Amino acid sequence: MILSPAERAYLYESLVQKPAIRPGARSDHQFRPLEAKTGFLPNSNGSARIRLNDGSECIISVKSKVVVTRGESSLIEVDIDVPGFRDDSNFVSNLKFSLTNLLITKFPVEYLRLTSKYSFKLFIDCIVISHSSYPLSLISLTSYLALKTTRLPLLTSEVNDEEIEEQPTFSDDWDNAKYIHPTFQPPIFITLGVIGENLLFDPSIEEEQVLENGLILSFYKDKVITPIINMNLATNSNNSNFKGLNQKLIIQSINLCNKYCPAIIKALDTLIEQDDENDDTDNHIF
Amino acid sequence: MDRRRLLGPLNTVIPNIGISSEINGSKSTPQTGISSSSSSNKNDIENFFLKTGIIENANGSAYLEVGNNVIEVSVFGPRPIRGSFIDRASFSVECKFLPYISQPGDELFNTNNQFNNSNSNTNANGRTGLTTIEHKISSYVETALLPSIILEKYPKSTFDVFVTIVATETPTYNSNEKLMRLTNWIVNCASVALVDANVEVKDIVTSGIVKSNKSGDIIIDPRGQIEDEQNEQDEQDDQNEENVLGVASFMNLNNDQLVGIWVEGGDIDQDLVTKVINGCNDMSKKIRANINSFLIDSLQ
Repeated sequence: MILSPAERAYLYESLVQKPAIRPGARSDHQFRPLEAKTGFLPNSNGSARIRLNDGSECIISVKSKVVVTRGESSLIEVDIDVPGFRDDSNFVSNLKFSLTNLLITKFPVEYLRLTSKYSFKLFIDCIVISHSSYPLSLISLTSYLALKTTRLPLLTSEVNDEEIEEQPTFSDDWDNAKYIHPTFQPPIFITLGVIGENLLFDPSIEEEQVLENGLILSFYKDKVITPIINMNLATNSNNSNFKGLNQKLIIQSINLCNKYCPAIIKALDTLIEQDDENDDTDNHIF
Repeated sequence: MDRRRLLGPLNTVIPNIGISSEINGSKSTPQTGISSSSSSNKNDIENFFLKTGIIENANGSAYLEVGNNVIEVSVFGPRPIRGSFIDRASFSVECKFLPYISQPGDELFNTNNQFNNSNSNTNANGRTGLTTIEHKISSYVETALLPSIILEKYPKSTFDVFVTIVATETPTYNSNEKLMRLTNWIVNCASVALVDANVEVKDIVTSGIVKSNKSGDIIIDPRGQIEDEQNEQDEQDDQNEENVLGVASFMNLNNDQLVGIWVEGGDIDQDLVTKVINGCNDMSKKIRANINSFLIDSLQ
């Protein structure tokens, strides 16, 4: 319990107002400010870190491996580590299921194809160093940055190896490495809090305590995609306001995401560009 | 059973209301063999077999068979908790497949088990925990049932719902569809188990599943590949891409409040999502009508 009954009541009353009065004077579609850094892990193909102003922090590393395509059930493997939670806890398992499911179903695997027999397999390792609110959108935004800046070595051998027994060979010059795809924008998750008739983007931990329900939508290629799920965002199930949703809010949430999420993607892309420019001078994260 | 301090009067009369005219649903008529799924109307809901009170040492239990799925739910609670005072009951759901059953999507999601026998539920420490898929089902069911239970009535207590999946569909379904279909019926079964445990609920949660086909029409209660016989060729490639699958759970007497939603699959827009929700709502109402008459019957 992080809020007293009086605090909860006060916060609830402010959030059900039309428009909602959020702590920190955010508007209902505004994300919390974040700070990000990409490409700082020398041994990874791609890496990113996002820090929020409430101390939440997530680091993601993307590594690749050349595999025989036929022998793999999927070309993406996700692992999530959250300190304080066991790997087989419901909390971590659900984060892992959501992210794996999104990437397996929506990631264009043809970008990972090397030859007719071989592909890259991506291993996405997430560490949530600290978090207060439900960390799925934090992880997903970080994975966006990490995947977007992932550079894979340039293939120098023949693409068509159906006839020949040849293993792929790569250029040993790291400068020749290329991004997964120049226009590729990985899919992301958006968390929305439902309270009264309001939908709040990116609820903070205090807001989560009084929410009536939570929605998780995914966004890819400028529109809302599946999966869409609802869940209790507060980790303790003793959330006394938790109740069912009005069906209209689902439609409304899709419209809102379609309206505001392109701005989030744009902000992340700008972030990467700025990070690239600063790259020569400052290549460490602290 | 004396589980609470305040008991109602012993000689209560249960009002005889709400008996539906079409009482001859699929309830409590044990089916022999598997129901034929080649029904002419594709919007019919598959017959299911439901029975309550099969587990004696649980406070409530329900058993459900639909198609080849066999689900058993037991409810334990309200049980007292140790430790500090809480003013509302806590509620947890745990869902397990029997160890010999292959879990839908096993090869994609349960990657932690790769060092062990792929179907055993033991992790590297040799402990038995839930797999990622079991956690996913558990959390959907928990989210869907949580708003219906009047937790304020049970301070200092806990409810534990244990779901056991005894059998699942044959592999003709794609794994997502199998998983979501299973989840759908688990919610229905668990709500009946809660009623059987005499837990105070706002309404009985029922849920429905729909699938869209390529033309954007909605098929209620999809059963594998029945609906697209004509193009079996490209079915394999298209099935994951094009079709949208949705499970949604409702409290039908409570303004059709949506308590759980899970949409997967291809491209969506507002219209399609509206159709998915409405389709699920229709199916949940039909299941609810069946459950209602089953419960009324079991009182008499």
